[in-house]
Amino acid sequence: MGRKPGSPKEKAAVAGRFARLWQWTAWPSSLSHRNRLCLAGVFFVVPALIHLVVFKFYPLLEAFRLSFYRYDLMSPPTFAGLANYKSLWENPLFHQSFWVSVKYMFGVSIAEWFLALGLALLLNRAMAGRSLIRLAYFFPIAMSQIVVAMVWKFMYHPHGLVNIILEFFGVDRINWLSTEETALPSLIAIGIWRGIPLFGVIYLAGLQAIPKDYYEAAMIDGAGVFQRFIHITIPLLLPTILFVMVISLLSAVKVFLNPLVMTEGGPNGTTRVLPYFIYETGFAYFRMGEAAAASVVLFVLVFGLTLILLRLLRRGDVQ
Amino acid sequence: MKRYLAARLSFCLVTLLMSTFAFSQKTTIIWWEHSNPPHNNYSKELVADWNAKNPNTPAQYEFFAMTPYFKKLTAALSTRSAADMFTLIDTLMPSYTTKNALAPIRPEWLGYKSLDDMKAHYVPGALDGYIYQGKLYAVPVVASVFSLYINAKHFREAGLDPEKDYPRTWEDIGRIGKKLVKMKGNKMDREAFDFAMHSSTWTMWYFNALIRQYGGEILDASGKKCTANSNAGVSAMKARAMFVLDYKISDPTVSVGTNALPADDLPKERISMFITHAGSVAQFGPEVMKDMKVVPFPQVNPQKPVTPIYGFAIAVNPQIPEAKQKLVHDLIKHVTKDPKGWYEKTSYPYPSKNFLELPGIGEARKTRYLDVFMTDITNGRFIQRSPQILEINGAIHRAMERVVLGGENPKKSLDQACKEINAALAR
Repeated sequence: MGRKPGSPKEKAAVAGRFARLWQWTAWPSSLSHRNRLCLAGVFFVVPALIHLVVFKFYPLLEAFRLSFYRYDLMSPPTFAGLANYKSLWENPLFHQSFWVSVKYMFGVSIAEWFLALGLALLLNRAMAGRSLIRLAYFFPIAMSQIVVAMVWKFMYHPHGLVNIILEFFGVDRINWLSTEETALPSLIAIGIWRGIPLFGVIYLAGLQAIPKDYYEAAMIDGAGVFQRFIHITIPLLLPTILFVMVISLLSAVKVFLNPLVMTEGGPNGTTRVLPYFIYETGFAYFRMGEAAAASVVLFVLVFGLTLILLRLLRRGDVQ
Repeated sequence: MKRYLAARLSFCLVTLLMSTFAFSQKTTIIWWEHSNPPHNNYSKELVADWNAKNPNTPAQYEFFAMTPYFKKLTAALSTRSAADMFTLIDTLMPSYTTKNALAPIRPEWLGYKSLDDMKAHYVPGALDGYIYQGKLYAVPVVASVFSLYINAKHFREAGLDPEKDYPRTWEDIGRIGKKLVKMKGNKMDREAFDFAMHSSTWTMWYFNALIRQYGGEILDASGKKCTANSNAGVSAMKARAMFVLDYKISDPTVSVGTNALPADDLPKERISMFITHAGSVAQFGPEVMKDMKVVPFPQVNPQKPVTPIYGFAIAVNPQIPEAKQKLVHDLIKHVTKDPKGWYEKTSYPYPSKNFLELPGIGEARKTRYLDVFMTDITNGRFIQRSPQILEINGAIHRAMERVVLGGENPKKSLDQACKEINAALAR
């Protein structure tokens, strides 16, 4: 219902407004090609950046801030300085959890590095039903983690499948999850079983990227299987190996669900990993500040480990 | 005027749409509970009935596995995202009431004249565990107790009469258990008796009753100091471990492995005697219960009985507006209106005063061991109250694991537990 411009002056004013609007919407065209590419890149990255800032960096900084406060989840937080860190240092359960985490991390990862590589080498060979086997061994990783934990819990029961099989072979019943000696190794075994398929696939991709020519040339020169593995496969697979090392250590140190579902940290705290300790301290004992301080310690551990391994990874790349 | 016609029409349309939306908007009440199949099924029935009668204020019912549920509830309350009403276990009351995390219950909104009037409608002491500084913070729906379930078939097979030979004391359990245990080589094929090993809360229920039977307490009267390593505590821990270490009629590793429903070893006939709660009657079902008999909780001295009792009660979220709190009270009134319904569907005695006189309850007293449970409730005491109860439970549980699974000296283990408890109380 707006009035139509009548006079030439009014028409010119409207045209001017349109021109300015056009110029405004087309402003990137005034930029150089390089800058326009940069800008496009920024726009592509913005959603991921927002996700990182909101869901990763902000909680991280907030946890760090909270580690200096006394906070029971319901009353307002009060500043406590380094009291939470002091309390952690004096808490034997924290020390126990820290070492349980370290044992679990290396127990799972080191086995994964070798077993996944062995599996990948096996599956890299021509054999009947190779595709089917590859699909089958990938199943554990496709299963829900909570289902895996529950199934293994039933299997580890003193009257469960694992002991039934052992008893069939004349081996005495083992109390997998209820003795201090076997509980952590039992959880480590599940971690290894679940991790091998993923890392096996990564190794397999790395193996398949190695040109066949190198092996053929080595064979002509008379190199045996072991020599080809040591002098061709390992050096060319080194970046993949280091990548697997980083990822397996990081995923192992963050384990939480299996101890929660299968042992609740027991017996006598021998499976209470650091993430479980943090969860229990924060949400069961209402000491969120102390839980945040333990998270900071876990972060430092993970971050330090990542830095060391990334440095190794970079060296591997150079080589 | 024509040029404003479109704007006026648009305004009227928007106003009409908004008012229609406002009038048709429903106020949903969200209710959270812990997982317990018969209990959850009955709660769902009650919610369906409420929803049929109150279509504009429907209730939405959700339930979660017990241990993560209470952690989820705490996190939800702290982030103002908790349900409007939720069921709580009595042991957690101090943790919540001392942090103002619960809205006071208004007896007058539930149809009572006052809190005293409400108390008069319940079994004496039934509300005490939910009162803090003179105000009621939750309405109980379950009053439960631990009693001893025995497999009568196993008793008969062992030449015992389940009606006469059932154990009255802990020593009786050891003596009778020797006849019930079944070995296969050097491994126990069927346990005679065991305690549940899976959760620190269950450990505390047993241990708190045991230490009281020996005349002690876990905390001193002020609640600021651990006394679990007293002579009474050491005797209690020795009694807790003697079935594994001395009588050798228990294999605690079986109970550790049977999680979620700890009493599950009983219907599966892996065990002949087990201490569990009143709700197990409904959980097992009539077919399993044919072979079972429920007898009173074992004692150190049957002349001075102490049993562990606990309860679940409905609380109101203090973060919701007062009008909605009133609505939640209406739902609580609806949920708690039929004590007999609660009992029949869940097997948990309901703590209302006239409960045993209700029509039809007399039959249950004979057939569903209601009299045994009510006797144990009469001798019952709630777990000692502390805002740090979960840490205390954890320390006692680890102490028990060290003794029962690792064979550690009870005194040394309880000294360690007290060190941990005192540190928690001092924080």
